[in-house]
Amino acid sequence: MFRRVLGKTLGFVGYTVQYGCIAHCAFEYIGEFVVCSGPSMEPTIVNHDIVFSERMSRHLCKIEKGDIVIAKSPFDPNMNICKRVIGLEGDKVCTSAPSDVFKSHTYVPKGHVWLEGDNLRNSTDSRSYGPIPYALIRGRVCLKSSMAILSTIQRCESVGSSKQVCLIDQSLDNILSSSPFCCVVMSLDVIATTTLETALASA
Amino acid sequence: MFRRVLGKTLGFVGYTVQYGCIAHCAFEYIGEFVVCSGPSMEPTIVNHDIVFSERMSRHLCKIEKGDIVIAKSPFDPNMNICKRVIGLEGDKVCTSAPSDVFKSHTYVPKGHVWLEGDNLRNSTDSRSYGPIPYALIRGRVCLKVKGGGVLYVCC
Repeated sequence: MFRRVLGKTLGFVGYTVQYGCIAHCAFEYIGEFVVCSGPSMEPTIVNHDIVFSERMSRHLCKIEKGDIVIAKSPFDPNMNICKRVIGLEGDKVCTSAPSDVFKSHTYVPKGHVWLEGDNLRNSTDSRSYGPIPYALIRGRVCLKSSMAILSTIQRCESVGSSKQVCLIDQSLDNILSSSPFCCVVMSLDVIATTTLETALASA
Repeated sequence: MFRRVLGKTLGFVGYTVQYGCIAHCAFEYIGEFVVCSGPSMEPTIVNHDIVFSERMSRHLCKIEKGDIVIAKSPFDPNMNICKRVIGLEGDKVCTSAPSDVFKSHTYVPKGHVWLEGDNLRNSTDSRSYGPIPYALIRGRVCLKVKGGGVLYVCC
């Protein structure tokens, strides 16, 4: 009797560990849903938006200028930040405020990236703490869900002085026919039951 | 015939994925063996030593001053570095060389650590590139494999 219970418990634990590991690897190498909080990426991503950040770009080193990335905060290893990549290693970035008379520039060192929020007035980013190492980047945001309307996050081509709103709102039908992530889109209704990995800090 | 082969192949792939994921999680949360190269940690860790770096300390934020850690290199996301933690956030560290007349100090910012190699003359570490974010640390070295499998514990 006791043996049977023990055997069943061990079997249950074994299955849990197995599927937990598979789920962890899926989050690690494919992508994860993230709840964003804070105003630093408005109007592209507002408070309480749910975004999908895919991990393949980071592992294949295909993060490019204009991408929105989720990265570990350099000041708190348990917090994540969501910003846009303004400069890659070797790029020249402007570090002075738009209101300054004398513009100052800096070069992004090797292995680092320069991040800035879209809401420049209310964002703590590389303008205050400098470039962050590329290894801190976790993933690239590619989909956003707000109120059951799915939107694709497009790469912002012009990241100069004027930040363009690069969000294209598409109806669900358009997304399913054109997006390569249509299989992920289908399961967005289980967000409530899926584990939401991390909440983002802002500003 | 074809169905049987396909079924067996899919089953094999399924098992491989399953056990690959379990192995990956073991390396991620328990520990991994690392081959060290370079002279920057002599005499504690020499070239081609194999060390075991455990991951639990990093996840539980229990890395302390004096630990030897494996961290991702701030200059190359695909490389790792092996150094000793000299200062945690808020600590005062000496940034001048021992031969300097005037000593200079700096405070380690929040969420960062100051790393130095044991072989101070031949080590590129925080003295040249500054403190690195704590999030870059991968694990803490706790065992070293040397010679015929004898394990030493690194303090």
